[in-house]
Amino acid sequence: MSGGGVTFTSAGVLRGMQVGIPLVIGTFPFGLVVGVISGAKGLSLLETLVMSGVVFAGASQLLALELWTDPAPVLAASLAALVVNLRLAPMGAALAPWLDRLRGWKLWGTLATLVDHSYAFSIAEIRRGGRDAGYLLGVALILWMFWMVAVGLGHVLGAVVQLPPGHPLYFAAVATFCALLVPVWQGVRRDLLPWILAAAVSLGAWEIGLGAPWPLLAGALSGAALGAWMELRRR
Amino acid sequence: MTLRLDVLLAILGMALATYLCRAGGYALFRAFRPPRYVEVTLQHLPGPLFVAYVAPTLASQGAKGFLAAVVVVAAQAVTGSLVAAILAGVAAMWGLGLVI
Repeated sequence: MSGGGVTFTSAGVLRGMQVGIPLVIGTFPFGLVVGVISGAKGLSLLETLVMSGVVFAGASQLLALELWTDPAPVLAASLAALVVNLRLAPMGAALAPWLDRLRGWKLWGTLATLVDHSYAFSIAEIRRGGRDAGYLLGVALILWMFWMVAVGLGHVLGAVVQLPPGHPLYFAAVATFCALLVPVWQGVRRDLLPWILAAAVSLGAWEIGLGAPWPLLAGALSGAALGAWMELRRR
Repeated sequence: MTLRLDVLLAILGMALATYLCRAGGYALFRAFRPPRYVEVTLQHLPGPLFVAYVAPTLASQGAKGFLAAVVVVAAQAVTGSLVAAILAGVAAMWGLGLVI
């Protein structure tokens, strides 16, 4: 990839928005769950929309909300967002064939919208020889718009139904992460021991009474470190 | 339509942390080639991260939580649909609540 001739046009943004529409089917229910949980944790509709607008990363929002307390846990929520979204860091680097040709808001503004789907679609577009980096922004923009609608709708519906604490519907948040584990699993040899260690360390930290987000951080980092160590040793 | 200061600060902290991952990752990885173990550790992060969240949360809900989690994983594996898996989990939690 020479990188020459990369453009950033509104036609590219529009095309990204068009191809991104089917993705909304997958993200919309997730947004509804985030909205319902956000309301249940005591956030107002405005606070919920501000969070969704500027953070725009569903898994980290849901996880931070699960750790939510009153007053708001500034450190715990920020750390949770950092750890959950670390996976986005290498994505920007992989998009270098486009991003290296952009300047100013087109570069730093587009990066602010980077999500798993826009990354995956854009990598495929780059491999096909696509040269319009507006595509990356377009896919993220359409997801952002429907994300705001879904989260807002979830918050409103949750307020109307007034679910009592402990209602089975709140299990949706945990269920989301259990379900996300399935596509992440790549086999016994790679994942079994790191995942067991992550569970054991987080349970141990939780048992001795450490508050959020420490069981999460300790389990996640120890498991990932073991996985990396095992993989590097095999080579 | 309230916007409390503590909530706003937490949201801004989350937004800053997330932007650091999105833009900082690109800037840093472009300037320096990261050590191999950092790259590999990042690739391994998602699984242990979700496990480390799910384990204590399920433990606090007892046997009911673990059984419902098994239903969620099975539903996701069979259908490949996140929506179906979440609905199955909530349904299982509701059903188990009647018997346990």
